Amino acid sequence: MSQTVTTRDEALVQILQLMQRYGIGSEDIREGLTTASDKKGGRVQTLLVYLGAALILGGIGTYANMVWGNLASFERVVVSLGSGIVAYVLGTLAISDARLTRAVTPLLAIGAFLQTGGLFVYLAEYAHGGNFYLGEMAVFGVMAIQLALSFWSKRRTDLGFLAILAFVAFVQAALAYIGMGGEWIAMVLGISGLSIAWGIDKTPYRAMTPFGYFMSSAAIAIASFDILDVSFFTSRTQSYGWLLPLFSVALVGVSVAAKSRTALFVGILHLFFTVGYFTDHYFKDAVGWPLALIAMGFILIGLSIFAVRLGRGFGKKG
Amino acid sequence: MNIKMLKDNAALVAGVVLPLLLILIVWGSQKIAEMAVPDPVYTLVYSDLGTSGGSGFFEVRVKDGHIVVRAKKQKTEGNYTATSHPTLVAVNATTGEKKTAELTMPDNAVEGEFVDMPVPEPFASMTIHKGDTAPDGYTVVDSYRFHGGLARDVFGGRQRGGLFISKNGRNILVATREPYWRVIDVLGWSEP
Repeated sequence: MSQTVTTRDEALVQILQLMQRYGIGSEDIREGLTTASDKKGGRVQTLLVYLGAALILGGIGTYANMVWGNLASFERVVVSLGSGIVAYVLGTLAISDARLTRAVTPLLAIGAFLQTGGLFVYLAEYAHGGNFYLGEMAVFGVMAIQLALSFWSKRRTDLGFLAILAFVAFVQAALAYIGMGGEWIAMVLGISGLSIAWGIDKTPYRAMTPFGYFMSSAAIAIASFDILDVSFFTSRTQSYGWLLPLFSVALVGVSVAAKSRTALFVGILHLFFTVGYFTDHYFKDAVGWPLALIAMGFILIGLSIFAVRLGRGFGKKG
Repeated sequence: MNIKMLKDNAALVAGVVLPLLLILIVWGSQKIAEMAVPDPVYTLVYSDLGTSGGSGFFEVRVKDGHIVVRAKKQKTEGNYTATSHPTLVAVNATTGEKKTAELTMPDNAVEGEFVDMPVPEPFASMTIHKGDTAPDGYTVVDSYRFHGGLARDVFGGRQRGGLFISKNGRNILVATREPYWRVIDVLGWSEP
């Protein structure tokens, strides 16, 4: 590619050839032409735009709240569900416009949020009686299907993330509807969430997995204390607290297998609380509380060093 | 969507399908249990004294198979104002028929002392089997169990339930308990 270029057309042809040969896109060219001051100005502009958008949304929300009592049922549904549908449609249309790339995720998220709220407003205005959880199932079921279809069509991580959130909310409502207790709902959702995050980790949409691993492990960690009837504040006669370390080991094990720092954080935190529980319930009176606290401090320092070393082995993963 | 795609994404598929399968199995077994258990024969009777301290103004109990109601005026809180309408309720869980009668402070009520008051119809003429369990085997279950715990607070489940009648795995919701501090006392079961 060393031939001399003399005309504008020849230069254009050569540029296109170079782009084709090295896989350079128009976005890369635009990025290359942007100067440092442009980038800085762009960031300030973006910040101001987001701030402005937040204020507009806040204003609309406050106004809706002020006039809510004077609105008829249909108007309430239009204000909430209608705004949601408009924002969602705008977000979907913005996907295909390169200039609006940054607006897509906020528009889709706001649209999905307002649509969910709007469907609840619809139920509150037009459906009376019945089981509360059936209403939740209907709303989150509809949202999960809509978002899953959107994801299927557009293949975007944000849509996949929102679809999974709606699915999890649907399963939570369904489990509550069949009479399951909150601690077991948390356990089922936690295990299911870990499995979903594990599966997504092997796809191009893996950006959402650190959040998934964190929330799922947190659900399991919290549920473990309730299921085993462990309390730091009251003394329970029938507690299975001695089983807590199994959950700590399982959570740390999952984090190592998935190479997830967020799951590791939760696992180590669970281990901290487990050590605290054991110190409080079994060693407090035996060796004296101050000594037990010092011993626990050393154990926690050891655990934190272990966690940092383990986390380094995960590479750049979240 | 083919088998290979499902195999490649086995963890993802399992995470989505298994909770749904669990819900279907539990719900299905509940439905089968419901079909195997006959409908309740007796009508559940309870007093709903509301949330504004109705229990301090009215006392409802069953004596010799009949409902007895006593009322008193409070010394310290002035005249009673019925903000939550203390009520007697009878629910036929099979037909869904619900009979209610509001309790109002009688003219002969005295401050600080309970006095007998007339029981409103149709409750006055009812014959009541006292207790939580009916002669046909149905038992009242108050599903509100506040043990505390973060998971129960965040993930809900059962807490928003209410008053159920239950027999061999069949549960029928009779009344919701919103808010949870409503004073609901089961009186017994009325003859069909």
